[in-house]
Amino acid sequence: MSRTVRLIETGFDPAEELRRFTAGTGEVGAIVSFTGVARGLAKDGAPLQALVLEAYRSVTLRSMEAIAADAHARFAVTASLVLHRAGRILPGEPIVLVATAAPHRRAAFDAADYLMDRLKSEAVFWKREEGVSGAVWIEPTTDDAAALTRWGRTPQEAACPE
Amino acid sequence: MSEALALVVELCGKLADVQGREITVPIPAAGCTAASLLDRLREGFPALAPLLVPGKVRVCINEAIAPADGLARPGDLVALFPPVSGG
Repeated sequence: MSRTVRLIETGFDPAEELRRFTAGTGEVGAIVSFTGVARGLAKDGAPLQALVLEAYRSVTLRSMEAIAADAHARFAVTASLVLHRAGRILPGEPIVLVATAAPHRRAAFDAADYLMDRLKSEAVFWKREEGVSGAVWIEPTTDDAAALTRWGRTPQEAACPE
Repeated sequence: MSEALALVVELCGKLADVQGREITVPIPAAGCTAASLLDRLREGFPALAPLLVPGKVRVCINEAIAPADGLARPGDLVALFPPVSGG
C-alpha cells in the first residue's frame, strides 16, 4: 500500500503526475483521478486575476496526510496520490490532483470522492480570490459542508482540525 | 511576579490583513496558556479582537494546534489560525 502526499508552491502537470502514479501502482484493476483547476470567474461572475492559497506547511501537510490515511482506512485502495498547490495560482492552472488505485473501481471512485470532499473543507488552507476590485477571503461553501456530511463528518470538525 | 518576555505570533489568513504578518506580545517568562494568549492579544490588539473568537481561532504552538490549556513559552513558534477554508 502506498500513500503519497505533496504540497507544492510551483505549477505541475497533472498528466505527467498521473503517468508516474500509474506506473507505480503495480497490479490493480482501477485507477481514478481528479484534477481541480482554478476558475477564471468568481461566484458573482466577476473575472478573477488569481487564487491565493495560504498554507502553514507542517500543519497543512499533516492535515492532508491525516485525510489520506483515513481514506486508506475506509476504502479498499492500494495506492493514493494527493498533490496540492499553495501560493498564487492563475486561472486555468491546476490546484489539486487526487489519484487512487484499487483492485475494483468502486473503491477507487469512492476514495477519490472522499479525499476531495475532505480536502475542500478540512485541509489547512486559507483561500483568497484576487480580482480587479480587490481580494476576498473564501470560507467553505454550504455545498462543501453538505459534501462532508455524506461521509459522516460535520463542518465543526472541519473548522477545528487537530 | 515573573518577568515578561516577548513572544512573536504569526498571523495567518485574514488575520494578517488586520495587523500584519507578525505581532509581538509580552508573556510571563514561564509561559502562558493558549486561552490566556488569546486574552492578551484581544487586550493588546483591539483591531484583532473581533476576529479572535474562542473556538474559532486556533493557537498553533510549535507546529501543532494547541488545546486551550496548551502552554506557549517565550521562543516557541506560535501562529494563530482563523477557520480554515479548505483547499
